[in-house]
Amino acid sequence: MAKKKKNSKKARNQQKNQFQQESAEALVDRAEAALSGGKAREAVELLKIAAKKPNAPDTIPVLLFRSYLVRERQLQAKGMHVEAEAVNRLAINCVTDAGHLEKTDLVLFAASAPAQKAFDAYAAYLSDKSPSLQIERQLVNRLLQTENWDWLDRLPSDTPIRKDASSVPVAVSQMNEGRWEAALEQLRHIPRSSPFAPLRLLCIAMRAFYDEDDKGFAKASAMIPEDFLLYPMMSTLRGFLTPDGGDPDEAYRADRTNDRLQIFFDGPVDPRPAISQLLADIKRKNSQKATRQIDYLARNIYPADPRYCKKTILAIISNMVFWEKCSFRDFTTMVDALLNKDEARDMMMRLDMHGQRPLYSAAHYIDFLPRLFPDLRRRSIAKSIIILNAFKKSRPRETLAYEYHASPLQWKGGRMVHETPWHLLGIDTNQKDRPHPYLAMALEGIACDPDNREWYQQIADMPRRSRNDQKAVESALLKMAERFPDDPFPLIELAGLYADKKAYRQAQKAIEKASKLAPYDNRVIDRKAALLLMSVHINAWRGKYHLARSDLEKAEALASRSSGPFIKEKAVLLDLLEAPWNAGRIIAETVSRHNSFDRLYLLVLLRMDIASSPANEKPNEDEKDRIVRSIQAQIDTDMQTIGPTMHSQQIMQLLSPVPSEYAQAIPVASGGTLKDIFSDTHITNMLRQVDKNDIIAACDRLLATGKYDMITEELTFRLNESGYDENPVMAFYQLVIDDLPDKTGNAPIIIDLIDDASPETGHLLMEAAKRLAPYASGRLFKALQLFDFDYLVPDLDPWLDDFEDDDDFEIHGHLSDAQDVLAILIGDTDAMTPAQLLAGAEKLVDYLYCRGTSNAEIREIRKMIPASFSSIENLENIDQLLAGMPEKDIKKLSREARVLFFG
Amino acid sequence: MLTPYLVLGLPTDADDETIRQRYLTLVKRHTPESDPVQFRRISESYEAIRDERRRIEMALFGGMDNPDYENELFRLAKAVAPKRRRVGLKEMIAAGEKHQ
Repeated sequence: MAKKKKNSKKARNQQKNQFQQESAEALVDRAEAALSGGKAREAVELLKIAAKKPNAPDTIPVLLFRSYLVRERQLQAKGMHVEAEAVNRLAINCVTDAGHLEKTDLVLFAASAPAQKAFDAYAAYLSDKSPSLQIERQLVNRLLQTENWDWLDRLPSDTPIRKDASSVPVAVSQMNEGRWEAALEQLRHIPRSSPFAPLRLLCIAMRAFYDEDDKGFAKASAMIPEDFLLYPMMSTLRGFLTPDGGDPDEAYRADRTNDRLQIFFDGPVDPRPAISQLLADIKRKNSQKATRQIDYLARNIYPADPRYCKKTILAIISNMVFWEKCSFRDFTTMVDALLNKDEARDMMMRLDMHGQRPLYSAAHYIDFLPRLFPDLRRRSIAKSIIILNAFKKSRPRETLAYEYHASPLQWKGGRMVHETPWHLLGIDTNQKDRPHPYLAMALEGIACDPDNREWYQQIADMPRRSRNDQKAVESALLKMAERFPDDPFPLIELAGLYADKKAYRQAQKAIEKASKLAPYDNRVIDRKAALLLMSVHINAWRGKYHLARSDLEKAEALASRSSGPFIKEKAVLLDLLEAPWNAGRIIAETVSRHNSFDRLYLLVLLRMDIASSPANEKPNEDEKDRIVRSIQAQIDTDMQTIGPTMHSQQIMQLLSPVPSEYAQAIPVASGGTLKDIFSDTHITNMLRQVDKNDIIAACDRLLATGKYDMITEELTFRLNESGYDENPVMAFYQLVIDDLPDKTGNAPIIIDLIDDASPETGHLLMEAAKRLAPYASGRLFKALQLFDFDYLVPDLDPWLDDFEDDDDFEIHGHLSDAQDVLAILIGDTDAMTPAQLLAGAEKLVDYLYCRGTSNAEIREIRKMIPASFSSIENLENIDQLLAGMPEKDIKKLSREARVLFFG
Repeated sequence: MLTPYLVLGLPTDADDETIRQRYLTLVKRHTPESDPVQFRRISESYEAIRDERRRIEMALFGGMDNPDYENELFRLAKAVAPKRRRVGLKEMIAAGEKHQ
């Protein structure tokens, strides 16, 4: 290294010696070349040597001045400000006769030389040249910096800068006091061509700034020339006040970091350091520092009510708890330190609502509402909002049963019951003829705040599993129609509800009312068309073809956007039903009239329609079979020709061809029908062609066909291609479907998959489990429903249980307890008092997770009990357990217990 | 949740009529053509607190369930425009030289 350095120095010395031999002119030429190449330092070296030569050209000082200024800029760019200043001094000193400088050089000289020298140089310049606006603007900058107006006397009296200067000193003193409006008045006579014009523009901009007219500020400040002293500051302020394009928040943050703006504002202009510090402190678990930061921020953001601001900041920060960026403990510490007791409790209750038990938390929160909302009306609205929030959090995850069992048990009224304040949510498990608990919640929400439209929309989207559910939805929609008489929504939904109940006339009445309110509303038109098609469907299968055709024409006339394919399907259906012997020709004509995918879609609709047709209707079964065979033959042909070219969206359309509003017009295909329409080869090919974003939805639709092997095969193929870790939901599907309907062999891998999943993925897996549960049975069904697979692993080492978390232990405990309860009930029913027997029965209901679930579900569990608890001997029928119990005691049992024990 | 109130420059106990009047004043000043960003902010804030139900909802659950908490904090801080201070020319020149 040292040798290299030595060699380089030697080379430089040699070169220097060589330069010494050259003439001054040659050196100046070299210097000019170096300067134009940006090599300012080399140019300075060469010019210095040239200056020492005899007969050195007169241009050397000017060239040296330029070279030094270029070097100064280079050093400034490198951040070497002290060095740059020293070079600037050298530049000024090397100019002995500034009067001979060219205009461009003099501009630079005037910008950096001491004021006196700058004015003298300009005075000399004016002796043989005309005034320059550029130079004078630099002199104005010097005047503003020094405020020595006497310098102007060094210039001839007729120079523009002297002529316009009369009112400027007064204006500048007003500007120094911040009286920009008065200064602007002073400078009113200054023309645009004056060197003082930027000062006037500055006054206009500052006046707009204090008037909070940011647009005016931007306009005026944009006209300030770049050589004005305060141009950089004005430009930054303009960028801050009127960010130009891009993400305004990003621009805001970027600009607020600029300290230059601080002088224009009271208080912290840039909250970013404080917010970044706060987030960093929270992540570092330094809750004390974070608490102080929140306090500081709250006082600065909203001095009028810092406590309210603190609550807002804490509410925003609470998201960090969900995303595991802040521990629950640290958050609690901050809340306790910053808020009073009631506020802290309020905050923690709100946080609880986002946890695993939204219903339970909501009920407790409602209990607390009187403290937050003393006014009854506001409290009632708040209650409705809390129920709605809990509803939206609980329903997608179906947390109802889980939450019930996670609530504490207590002895009440002679039996063990779960302590739940659910009556506050409107849920009463003991009430006869009650609707589904989620519907009950919705009704309670509406009762609290009947003007909350969101509830009605939620209700309209809910499945109606029973007659009670239908009644509840109907009453809610009728209430909405009464409450909002101008809104067609409840009438459209009522029409759909009546259609589901096959109450066609009521549906017609409702839609006619809606049509009067909003005749051009697409929702009304679509529903009207769906009802007419429903009528076509009924009349066609009853053989009343003339009525069917008349309704079909009415449906066509509506020109509904969504009903087109269904109208075409019904038209072909009517042709087929009227002339079944001509099925081949009708289908051939249909095929010739439509393009490839449209006809395949139409044939699938037709095939489903006929497959779901009522028995003992016209045409007879033989004719129907013949029609079906003709359609199926064409579908098979089309699947071979069109099938390979279909894209993912088209395949999804074929697998689920009828939207819900047309379900009564063309009954939605069951899994069995899909299986009949599409052969194994078709299904395999379609699955292969489906896009990766649609594959899970395609699986959901094909699960009903029971073709589990094919689905598993496709998922395995895809997972081998893309990797299991990349597609946790697909992997979960593959593992579960492989075990369907009731195997548990993949449980250990599923447990690992769930354990490794991020919180977001875990949520997706939980939703996937809910979707898959209906196709499972036995213990797999329960595991999917509860999203807990741990208990499916039979040989967990009991010693390892000590290292499991509490939740796992609880599940194992529940199951072994359930066995114990059963064993006690079987073994000692005679020895038990009726009260003990009742308590035991209720306990069993709880341990088997039956509480809050539907009767159908409990009956499924009832069937599984002897098989699932095979270790308990002599258990054939569960109702034997309570066989000897007096009828009056049986009546004391809960609904769940009665269904579980007696079916 | 304080942000909408700060954007509209209203106290947290403002009623429907006050909120509406303030909104109309602000949207006249910041029209969608002249200041689309601010107009959007004002409209969003107004929608968030325009009636009592929304205000109660905002008070109960505002700010929660938002993974973008960092930007939410910035939005809160940004909602308050810092108070403009009267500054003189000399002070501006000195600050400019300091930051050069």
